[in-house]
Amino acid sequence: MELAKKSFKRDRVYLLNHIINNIGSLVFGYINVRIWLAVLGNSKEGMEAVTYLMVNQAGLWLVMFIPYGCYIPKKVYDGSIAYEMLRPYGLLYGSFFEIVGHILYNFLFRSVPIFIFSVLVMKVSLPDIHQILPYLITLINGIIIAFLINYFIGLWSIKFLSINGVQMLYYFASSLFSGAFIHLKYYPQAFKKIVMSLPFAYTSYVPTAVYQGQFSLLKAFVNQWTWIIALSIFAYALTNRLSKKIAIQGG
Amino acid sequence: MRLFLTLFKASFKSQAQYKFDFFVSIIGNILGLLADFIIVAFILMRFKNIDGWQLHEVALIYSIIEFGFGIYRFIGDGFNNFELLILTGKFDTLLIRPASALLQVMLQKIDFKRLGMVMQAAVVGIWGIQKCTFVNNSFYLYLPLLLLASVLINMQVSIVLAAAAFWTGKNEDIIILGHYSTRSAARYPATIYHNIFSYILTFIIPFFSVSYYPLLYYTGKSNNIFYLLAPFLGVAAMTPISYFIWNLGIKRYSSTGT
Repeated sequence: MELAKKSFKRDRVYLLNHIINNIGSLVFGYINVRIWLAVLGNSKEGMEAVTYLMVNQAGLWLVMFIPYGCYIPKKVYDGSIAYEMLRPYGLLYGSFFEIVGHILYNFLFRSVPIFIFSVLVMKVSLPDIHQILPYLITLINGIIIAFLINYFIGLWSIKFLSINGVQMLYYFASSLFSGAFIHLKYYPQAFKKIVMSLPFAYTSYVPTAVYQGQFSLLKAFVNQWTWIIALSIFAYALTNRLSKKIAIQGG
Repeated sequence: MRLFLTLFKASFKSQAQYKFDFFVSIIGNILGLLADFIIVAFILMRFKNIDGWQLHEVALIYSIIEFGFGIYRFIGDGFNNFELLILTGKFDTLLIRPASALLQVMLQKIDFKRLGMVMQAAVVGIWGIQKCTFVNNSFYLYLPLLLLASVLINMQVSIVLAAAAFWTGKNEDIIILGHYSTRSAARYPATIYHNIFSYILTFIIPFFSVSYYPLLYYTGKSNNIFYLLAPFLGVAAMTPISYFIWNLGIKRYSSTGT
């Protein structure tokens, strides 16, 4: 938990920058909203799309825009990764709590302000009272999945040093497959099937569809935990393998 | 020019050193931004048009903006990471050299992986051009100028925002707000936005001058030939502004130095 507190405090220093960033995020949300309103008009479907997009826009700070590679690339770059390996807890565990602090910060200073603005100015609908808890549960599951995917980017940096390419690939995959910028019902049917068999949709589309009461909590929960378990096992195994490699390099 | 060539070779050698990573970087840059366009393509496949603009017309707007952005990132990577120069104090060393600081920042590094962005913009654009019925010889003559204007506007906006670091230190978030979000907005027709937002993208950060206005004339949505001058007016207005703000920043930087 100390790690989480530290990364929370580290983010706190740049509050002013983050306020500017929140305005930027709102502009991105606004662009998407205007595209959808241009095609759907000021209809019920149009307003549902606005809610869907802006709830996702607020959630992006928890499930997409977490530090690429969970701070690992930076540690590889400055060499402090060697000390990380000496710590009593594993790299996976340590990275998780570092990200928890960052996510908590993002939730309070990014997601909540963007969400409040969206409700007050962009007429985003609030969820049905029975959907609030299911939404939060699926969101937390989504965060864990997003963390694990980002952790793989971190492992990539241990092996290949630079992450620019893989970071762009991640952005491509998460933009297209997570449904963060488009409700999956507007995808061609065959493409939607592919998307639902990848982990990305469980970070954005599923929580927001639960928010709007369009996805069953049980189904969401089972699928999300299947991904979490599968990705965790893979992450654990890969970390062990790469740790040995580092030891060899260190001589 | 010799300086540029030396740097070009050095950058290429250092970036191509790790071949696999270099390859993944290029692929990443091809795909990275393409997702945004694919999403819009899905929307337009279902709804056929956005405010009267067909998919291939939006593709053309998109590719003009992204081509300019890709080339700018290829040669102007230094502006994007300018806060690092300021925060680490490395900018001091550039000031004492005989070459212009602006040129030196621009040529910090030639970023080859950004050619991936240029390639994806070109592919989307070529696809759009093939589908657009209005394309004639005059458009082919006009297009290179339009693309050049797009590169220049991207570059000028980024110089202004890089200069913000002289006052603020960190400016990554300012770049996201001032450049990335406005550039994304300029990939779609201006009519979908509220008026104030369109004015900002016309008169303050004039991305619409290289995307929306020229295409408004070419697609036949307006007869006003004056719109073809928009890119040149945009660049002409931004040149002194970006130069002035940059110099103002340097003056401020010198005065706070030790």
